[in-house]
Amino acid sequence: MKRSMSIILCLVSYHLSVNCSYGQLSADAAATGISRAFNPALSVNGLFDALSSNRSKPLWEERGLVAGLHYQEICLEMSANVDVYLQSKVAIAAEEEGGLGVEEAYVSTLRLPIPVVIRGGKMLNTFGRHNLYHLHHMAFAEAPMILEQVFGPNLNEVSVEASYLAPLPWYMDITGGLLDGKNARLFDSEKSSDLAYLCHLDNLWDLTDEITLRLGGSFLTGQKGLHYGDAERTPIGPDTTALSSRVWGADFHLKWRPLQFGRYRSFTLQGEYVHTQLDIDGRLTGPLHGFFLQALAQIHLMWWLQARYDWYDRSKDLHRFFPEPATLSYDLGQNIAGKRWSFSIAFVPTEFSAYRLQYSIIDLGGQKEKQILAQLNVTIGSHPAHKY
Amino acid sequence: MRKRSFAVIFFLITMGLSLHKAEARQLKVVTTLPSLASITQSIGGEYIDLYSITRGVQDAHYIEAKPSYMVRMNRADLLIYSGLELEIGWLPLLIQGARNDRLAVGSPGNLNASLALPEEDVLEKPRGGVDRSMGDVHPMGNPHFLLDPRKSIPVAELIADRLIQLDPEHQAQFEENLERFKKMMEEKIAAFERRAEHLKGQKVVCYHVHWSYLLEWLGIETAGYVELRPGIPPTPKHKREIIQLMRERGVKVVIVSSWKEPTRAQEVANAVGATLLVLPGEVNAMPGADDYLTWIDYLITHLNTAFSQE
Repeated sequence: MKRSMSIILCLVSYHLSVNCSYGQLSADAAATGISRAFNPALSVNGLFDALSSNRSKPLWEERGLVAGLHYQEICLEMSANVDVYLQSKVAIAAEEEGGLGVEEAYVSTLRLPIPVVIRGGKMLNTFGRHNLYHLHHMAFAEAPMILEQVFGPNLNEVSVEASYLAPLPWYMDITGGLLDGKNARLFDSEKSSDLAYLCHLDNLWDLTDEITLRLGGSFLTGQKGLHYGDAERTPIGPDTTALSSRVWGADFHLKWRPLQFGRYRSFTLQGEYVHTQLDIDGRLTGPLHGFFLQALAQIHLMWWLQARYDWYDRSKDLHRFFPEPATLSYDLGQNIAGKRWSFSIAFVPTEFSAYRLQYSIIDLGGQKEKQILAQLNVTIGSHPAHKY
Repeated sequence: MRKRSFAVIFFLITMGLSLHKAEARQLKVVTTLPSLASITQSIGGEYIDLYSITRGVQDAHYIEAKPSYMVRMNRADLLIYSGLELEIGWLPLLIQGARNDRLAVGSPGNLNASLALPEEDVLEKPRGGVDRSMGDVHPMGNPHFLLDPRKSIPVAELIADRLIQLDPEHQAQFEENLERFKKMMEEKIAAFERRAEHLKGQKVVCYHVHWSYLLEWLGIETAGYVELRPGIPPTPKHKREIIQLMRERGVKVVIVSSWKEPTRAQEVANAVGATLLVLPGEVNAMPGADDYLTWIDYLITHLNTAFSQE
């Protein structure tokens, strides 16, 4: 198995290096020189927040969502065709709380003789649907609690993914991925040769011309480092010799958009369930599991009403492996459950600016918080269309 | 277990490849617009299997890249699209998602219909640069060129050339169909122009910048637009200004596409006692506009009726 993976990695690396060599040659004997026609499409997205909480220290602080006035994220995106064979996308995000980081930087194939697209590089991995959304594309200001808990909050690894479009009457996409296994919560193995493996099955049916149903399933596994999830990476101890993560996911997406006046009305019901366990020396421990369910109603050309329910439950055995992103103090001897209701009204005058008012009621292990958030979401430049 | 999974995957891949071969006998064509589909059907006849991604009632600027379209495109031999960035918001996603080498940009199976037009025939190409404060401007010019039926002839020629390239076995039939289409269009265009003779010099206000090719062909003047900027609904101030302009210039007809909510256009028309004319923005957008020819016929007929009601 490992040998086949190595062969695949070798082939991909070879293909990339071949293209790099051509790039070097063409720079020496430039056919197109520094023509600006070939500049990538560039865009910058900014998320600016004002958050207020009824607690002096919010229970659930994540991705820059802290009380006061802040920029949550400034994201620079670039995309262009590399050559005849590849296209590339780069997203560099700066967070007020988290500094600057590469969110995505990958190439994907433009043409293969088989119905497959291969992506390689650092990317948001195809686990469910929500994990593929950039922050500015999310219907709410933050990722669902369960994704925050399991991935913290994104699974975006250096990886290779291949997606195959099955020859069936409906849309069935089968994705397999090989990840570097660096996610701090799930993997972070001491051995750099420990990779993680991903598969995803995505189906979509047109129930009518106006309604689609999407159902998907995901599985992710990989070796985990023999340490806890705290910042110090505290060693687990000599009694444990093998530790791996297993994550299962199920997602659905039901969408209605009328054919006529489709720009003015739509409704989406979307949800995901994620189930995580650790395999500690052959014994499955956990789970950490949860779901979110969200309803998004476009009631007018520019107005949206949205609601989301989040829930997760974590076994006491996993507390030290998946520390809260929150400032919550909790009893290590008890399971912990969290839930959140979020409601938002959004004014979206164009595709490039949106104003959101979001109200959330959070309950973590019986401790409660109410948050209200105002957000400005702006994009300048040539921003690629979002996937369905 | 693992062996079984590999067997299933192998079966699916084999099935996929064999399906591609089996389908090669009849040329599968996907168009983005019903008007392109109608013209392509006239040329391809029984030798093509045709599918249009958008329906006439849909606004082609705002289509979502539904994966089910990718399935259609995955099996297609030829993709015909309007170009001039009409489909820029969704077609690139579909092309990549379709995972069909035949439709990749630069392949014979990828046909940009706007390339049939000389550059000078493209209307409303912005001069002096564009930015988003100008609204949803098409940086390459107005892409709704098939509203001028004279443009359908070079488009049909381009489509015929590509069908012949991909299916040379039926060259004679495609050429015969093209000649028949051209002859029919030339006769019909002359008849349309006779019927629309008295429309020359008339004035209209449009809700959106959509009808320019039709109005220019017929010699109708566009006095203004109800939208503040392309794609941006009017402010109360802009509505007052456009009403004032209509009064001053004696504009008696307001045109709105069938996929736009007509409320604001209706308010403007009511304010000056003008006729609101809801027209099909594409083939099949309204009953009676069932193919390219009947669509143009519908537009002429209803413009004539609107101006005779003044």
